[in-house]
Amino acid sequence: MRPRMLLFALQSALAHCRRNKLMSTFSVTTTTVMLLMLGCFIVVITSLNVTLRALESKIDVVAYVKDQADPAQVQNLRDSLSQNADVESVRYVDKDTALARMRQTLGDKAQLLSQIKGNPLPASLEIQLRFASSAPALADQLRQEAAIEEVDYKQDVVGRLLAITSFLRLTGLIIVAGLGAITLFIIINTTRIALFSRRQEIEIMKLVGATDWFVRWPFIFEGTFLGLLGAVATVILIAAGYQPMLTHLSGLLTFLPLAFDPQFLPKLLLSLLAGGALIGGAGSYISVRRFLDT
Amino acid sequence: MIVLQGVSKVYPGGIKALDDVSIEIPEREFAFLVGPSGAGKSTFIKLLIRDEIASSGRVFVNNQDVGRLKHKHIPLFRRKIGVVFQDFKLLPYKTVRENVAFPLQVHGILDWKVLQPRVDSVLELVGLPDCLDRFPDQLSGGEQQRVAIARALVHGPLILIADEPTGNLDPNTAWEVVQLLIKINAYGTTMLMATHNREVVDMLRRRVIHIDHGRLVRDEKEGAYHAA
Repeated sequence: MRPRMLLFALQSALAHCRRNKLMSTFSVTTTTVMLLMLGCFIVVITSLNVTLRALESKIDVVAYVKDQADPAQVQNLRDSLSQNADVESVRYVDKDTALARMRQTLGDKAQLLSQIKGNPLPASLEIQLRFASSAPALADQLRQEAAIEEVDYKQDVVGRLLAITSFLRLTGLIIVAGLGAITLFIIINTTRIALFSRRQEIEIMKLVGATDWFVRWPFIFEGTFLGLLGAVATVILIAAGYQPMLTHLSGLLTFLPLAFDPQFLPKLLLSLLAGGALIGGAGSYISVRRFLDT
Repeated sequence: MIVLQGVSKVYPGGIKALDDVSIEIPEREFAFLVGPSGAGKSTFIKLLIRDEIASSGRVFVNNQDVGRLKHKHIPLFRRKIGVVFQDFKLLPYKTVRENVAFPLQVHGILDWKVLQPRVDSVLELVGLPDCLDRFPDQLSGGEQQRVAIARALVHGPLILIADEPTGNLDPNTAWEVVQLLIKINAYGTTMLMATHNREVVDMLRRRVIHIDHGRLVRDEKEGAYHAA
């Protein structure tokens, strides 16, 4: 196909969109509604994910160090932990700090401590994890260490939290995947209905001696253009609604650290634009092919 | 120009639309194709434009064996013939100018400086010079058929095939369209016109090819609608 032919196809497509306003509006509206629904779900589920991650990072593992442990061994352990990919940070709390903390916790009952000789509290390694799911494995690993007396993490809390978050993630994924499939299906079907009324046009073009590609290109451009228009409308709506919606949500859910990713919005908007254009173009291609073959 | 050799067409389900038809239409001839509805006239035309393929026998148009055309050569083949239909088959979202120019654009002629004079002259020929920017649904039936004829002629085809071109028109308009087809034939285009219009056939006394139940029953040089 020569560039001049493509330009002609593009001009024909745009002229057709302009002349058949009703069908164009119908296609753009359908695309907008479907993409908007999909986009909103993606926003909600991504935000939920950020929240879940924040929740999970609150879990930490505490490893108590034996009093008689070799300081070099403890240092080695600290180093290897900070290089562990699952570990966000490691902090060493020595015996004195532990006692000072205890004193602070006890407040005005701190004089109780004077009844005790020496410092009974062990030193410890406080490990913050990237993902709560790695807690059990890390705890087992630490228990094997000679320098470690005991490992503690909130086992039942972690278990329950993980069950909840993985359930929510899976549900979110299923909803987005299902909604994505439905969006694709509905947009392709809309294109097919729009094209069905134009089956005769395709037949006429072929009778006059048009090649398959000569018939196809204007339809592909038209689908792409209308899909893109729908996506632009969606992007404008989501861009305008994103901030107010999230502010409202964080106001409702003050107990959750809603840390929204500023990189996310442009990524979503670009994907929606590309997706709208692609679905529109591909939908037209598939539908035209059916009529060309018969 | 058009040659059929022992052509039969059987549709799926065993319906026999054409049965052993042999015929030859030489260059510059004006021939009518007559017969009752369901006689096989439309199938005849569909075979000529490669909308259908003969079950047996051979069809030649412009010295090309139509049945043996490869799929990718069909567009090129169709560009050498012009076809006019009872229901006009204009593209509804294109203007008159764009409809008439379309067969040329299909050829790859896309520059309006080249297209415009050719569109103008063919619209002049069919007697519709002032409707360039109207859409088909803004025209009368007779005007639409003239646009369809202009479209069928614009690329200078050697053969013009018309399937009931007057079927949807009132008698006066029908006559005007037939006069136009005669004029086009006089300029050298071979013409095959399938019709039910008895008056037109009887008045013009041209070659008449009569088909009934898929068989060629009559072929007269200066025939009438019914056998004498």
